[in-house]
Amino acid sequence: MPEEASDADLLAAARAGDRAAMDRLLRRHIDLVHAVCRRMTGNAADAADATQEALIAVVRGIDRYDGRASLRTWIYRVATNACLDELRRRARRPTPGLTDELIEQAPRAGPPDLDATIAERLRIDDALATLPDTFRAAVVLRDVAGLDYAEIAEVLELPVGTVRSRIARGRERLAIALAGNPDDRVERQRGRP
Amino acid sequence: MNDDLDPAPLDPEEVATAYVDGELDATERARVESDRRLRARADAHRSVRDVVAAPLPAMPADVRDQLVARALDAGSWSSEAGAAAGGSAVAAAAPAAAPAGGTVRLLTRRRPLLVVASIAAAAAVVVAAVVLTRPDHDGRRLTTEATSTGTAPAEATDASGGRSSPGTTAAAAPGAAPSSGLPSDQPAATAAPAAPAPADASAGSGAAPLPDVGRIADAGQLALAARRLEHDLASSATAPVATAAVVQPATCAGFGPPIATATTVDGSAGYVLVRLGTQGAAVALVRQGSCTPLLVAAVGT
Repeated sequence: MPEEASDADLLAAARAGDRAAMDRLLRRHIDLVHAVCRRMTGNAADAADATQEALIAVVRGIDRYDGRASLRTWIYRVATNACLDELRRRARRPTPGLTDELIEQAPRAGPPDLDATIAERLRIDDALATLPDTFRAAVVLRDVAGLDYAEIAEVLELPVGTVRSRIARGRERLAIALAGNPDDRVERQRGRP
Repeated sequence: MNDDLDPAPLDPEEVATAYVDGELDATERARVESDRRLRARADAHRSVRDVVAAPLPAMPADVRDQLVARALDAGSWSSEAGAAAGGSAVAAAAPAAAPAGGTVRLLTRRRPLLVVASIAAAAAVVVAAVVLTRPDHDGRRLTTEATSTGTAPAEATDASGGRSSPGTTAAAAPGAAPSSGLPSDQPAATAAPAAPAPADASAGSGAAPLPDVGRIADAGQLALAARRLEHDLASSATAPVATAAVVQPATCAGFGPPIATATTVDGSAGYVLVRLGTQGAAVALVRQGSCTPLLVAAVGT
């Protein structure tokens, strides 16, 4: 199989049982799948979980892919569902004791000298965490994955108008969160929109 | 029904955001470009878009390899079949762990292998997050104030229901991993995946085991231990790795995976977790197998 083989070529070979082709197909898309999951979940561990689930779903579902959507769109749909599932699982996890209130009871010293890159990343994660999952998915698929509205509509199985509305509302909220009172950003619990 | 009615005009925010995304036709674009207010909104949406689209750190190659290999093993491609079909070196090297029955050991936090990746990521975070020792711009060190939550004694007493401590003291060998076993309060659903051999957690990683910071008497000592961990992690070539049944870390929402093990003065075994916020870090010692806090220390404004 040539290095520049198309997704369609790799798909056909993978369906014929060529592990190497499936391997290449996954590697071709894993970085963007992971980036979407990273922005959706807000942390590396959950993103790795969701990415793993997404790749497994792709492998197991490849024979059911019917070609109506592009392969890339289909993979993003699988990945988005994996991310949303991960967020639902996270919401069910117990958090006994380790509440914001408990942590905030502890007296604090001066502001931390965080590496600027990490601080910015956290600021974005915190802002994204303020969005409902469905809004976040639309914004992330647009801004991280670079899908157009029609593709996002296919991935999320929504009308294009709803996608546009969610992206607009999501960005409005993000603008507020990113520019908001710094006190509002203090250690927001992950995954609590 | 009047078919001559124009469709409802788009909300200005939707027009602005669609403009940024190149989703408007020429007429609509012209409308935005001729309207100062819409242009301003478009600029605001563009700024947000650029922030969200900021690049993220690349996934480590070994994590990528493992995620792909595990996914392939979860499908109909066994490692052996893959090799026969000209599988890649990565595929051929994938652990022959795919159970015949089709049950897949996911590379997730609930299974030791993800803990390897997670902790590697956490190690990087901790170096930045444990801000306790960094000099400020005046060369002074930030003062760390930490406090016991007040719940620790009661929780520690309760800890007899958890995994019992080996009874070692602060002199316990650094680098020692939790010895064995699962806490009694570990939910069955999460306890089960811990069964795979501990060797999974460090196989091929060349990483050091999860360090043990010994006995911790109060939140002040916990903060101090975090300082030491910062130095250790910064000077270590490899990330610490949980080599035993570290299965619950990510169940403590908002916190990263464990970066060390520790023991309270009355023998409760716990994991040290870090939660990083934009305004500071929190360090928690939670009882192993649960998110029950034994001690919490916080730094920040």
